[in-house]
Amino acid sequence: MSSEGLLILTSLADAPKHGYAIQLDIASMSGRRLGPGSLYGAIARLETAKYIEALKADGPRRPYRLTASGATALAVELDALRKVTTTAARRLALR
Amino acid sequence: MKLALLLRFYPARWRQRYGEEIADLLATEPPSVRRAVDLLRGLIDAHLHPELVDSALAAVPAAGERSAEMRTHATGTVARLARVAMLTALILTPVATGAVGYYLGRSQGSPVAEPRPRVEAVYVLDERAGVWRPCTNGTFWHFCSNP
Repeated sequence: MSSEGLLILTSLADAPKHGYAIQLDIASMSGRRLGPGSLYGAIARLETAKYIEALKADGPRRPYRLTASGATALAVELDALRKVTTTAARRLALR
Repeated sequence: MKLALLLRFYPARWRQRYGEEIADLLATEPPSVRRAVDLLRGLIDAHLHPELVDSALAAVPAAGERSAEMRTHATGTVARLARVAMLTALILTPVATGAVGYYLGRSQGSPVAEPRPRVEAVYVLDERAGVWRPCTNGTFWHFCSNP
């Protein structure tokens, strides 16, 4: 999964959000502001994978929510990341 | 610079599905080179992966009346390559013709060069030998540079 995909899934983990809210949430948690091209490229991939789904649009803003398979995929990714960070921390401590 | 103009070059299905949302996002902040590059990357991605939007179109509530008709459009490799070629030509043509520099007001393009005047053979007088030597960049060049 791309880093953009992981950030979007994390952003949607607590509540449904539209693109602008996702962008702001990601910027606040990672300091990285995804541009519209990257954001919607990742959203399209997540929708195709059925990890997120679109809800009824509110004007030009359409909210997205995490699906059950999206939550599972996020948990798997986080588990893999946890192993990486644990290994990295242990190896850094040995230096 | 209106970045929303770039949306016109996205595939039709992509625009139908995400165009309004992307335009809304673009309206939230001032345009910048970084945003333009990001949008161009997204544009190329959208042309390379048009199939990504199919399931999204089908799943969207209250949108997708045209999706069945649109799905009949060619999405094969040839169509994809043609789209990428058109896109590349679209981006590169202004660059190649210097139009970008022209619009920025600092074109580096040089005007059409005037033909060089034809230089007829030049001779110098070899006073010691009492003969005229051809002034070429060869054997008798020193006569021309140090007559």
